[in-house]
Amino acid sequence: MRVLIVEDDRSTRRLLAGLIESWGRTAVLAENGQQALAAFDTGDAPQLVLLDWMLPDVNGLELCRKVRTLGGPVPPHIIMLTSRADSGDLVAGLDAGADEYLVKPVDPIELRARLNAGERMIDLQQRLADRVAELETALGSVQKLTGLLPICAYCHSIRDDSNYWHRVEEYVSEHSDVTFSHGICPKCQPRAREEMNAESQP
Amino acid sequence: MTQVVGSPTAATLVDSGLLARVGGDRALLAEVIELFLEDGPMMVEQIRKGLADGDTAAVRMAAHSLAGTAANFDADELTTLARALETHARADDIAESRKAFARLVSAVRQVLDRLTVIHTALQCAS
Repeated sequence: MRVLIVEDDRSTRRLLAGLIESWGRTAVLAENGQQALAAFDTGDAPQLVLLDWMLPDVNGLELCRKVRTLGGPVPPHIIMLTSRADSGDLVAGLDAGADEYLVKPVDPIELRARLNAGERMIDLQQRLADRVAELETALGSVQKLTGLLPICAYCHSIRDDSNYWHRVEEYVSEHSDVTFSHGICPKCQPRAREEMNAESQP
Repeated sequence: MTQVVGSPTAATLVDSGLLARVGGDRALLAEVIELFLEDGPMMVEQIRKGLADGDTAAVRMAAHSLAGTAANFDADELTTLARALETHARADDIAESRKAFARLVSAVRQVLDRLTVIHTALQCAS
C-alpha cells in the first residue's frame, strides 16, 4: 500500500514516513500541494493520503477537493492531519472530501489503526469496482431480445428485419442463449394423441 | 553536557512518551530531532523576519509549523506559545504577535537545549 504524506515540516514528515515504513507500507513524500497532485499523475497513484491542514502553497481543504476531482475507479482514502480540535474545522475537512481526521501530535497507535481501517475501506471499494467491471462485461456479452416482433397470428412465425419468416424456436434460439427442449403440454396432449392415432390408421 | 554510553542518565533522558511518539524507534527519534535542531532556528528566523516585515501570513505559517513540530516532542509550553502567536498573526495583530514572540524565543531555546542533550544521548547509545 502506498501512502502519500503531504506535510511541509521536515521532521514531522520524517516521523510519519518512518512510522509508515516500519509497518511495511511505502511512504510517498510531498511537502506542498503541487508535489501532492504530481504524485497522482504517476501510474502508481497512492491509495492512502495523510494530508496536513495547512500547507505553504495551498489550503489542505482545497487540496482535498482537488484530489477528489481526479477520479479513478477507487478514490484514495484521505486522512486530514490537523492541530486544531475545533469541530467547525473538522466538519469543513470532512465536507471537502476527507474520510477521517487525526489531531496532531499524531499518536502512532491511532495512526496505525486508522491506516488499517482505510486499507479495509480501499479493499472493499476495489472489490466493488472489480465486480461492477465484471458485471458490465457480462452485460455487454448478453444477447438481448427487445423491441417489436412481427408474429404471424396463425402459425406464430416471426418476421426478421430482412423480411424472412422463422419459426419461433429458431428465432428465439438465434437471438438469445435459450435452447428449446420439446415436450407436449397437457392441453395439447389429446390433440397429439388423435393425430398419432390417425397416422397409425391404415 | 556529555553523556556516557549506557549511563542511567542517557537511558532516562529519552522518556517513554518521546519514544512512543516514534513507535519505540530510537534511530528514527534521533533523525527527527536532528531535523528539528536544524529547522527550529530557521522557523524562529522566519517569524522574526515576518514580524519585521509586517508579514503576518509568514508569521502564521512559521508559528503553525513550530507548534506542530514542538507537539511531536511533547514540548507543551512551546506548543502553547506558538499556537498563541499563530492566533495573533491570523488576527493581523502585530503588537500581540511581537509580545508572544518574545516569550516564544526563550521557550524555543530551552526545547532546543533539551533535544540536543537527548540527541547526543541517542547518538552515544547507538
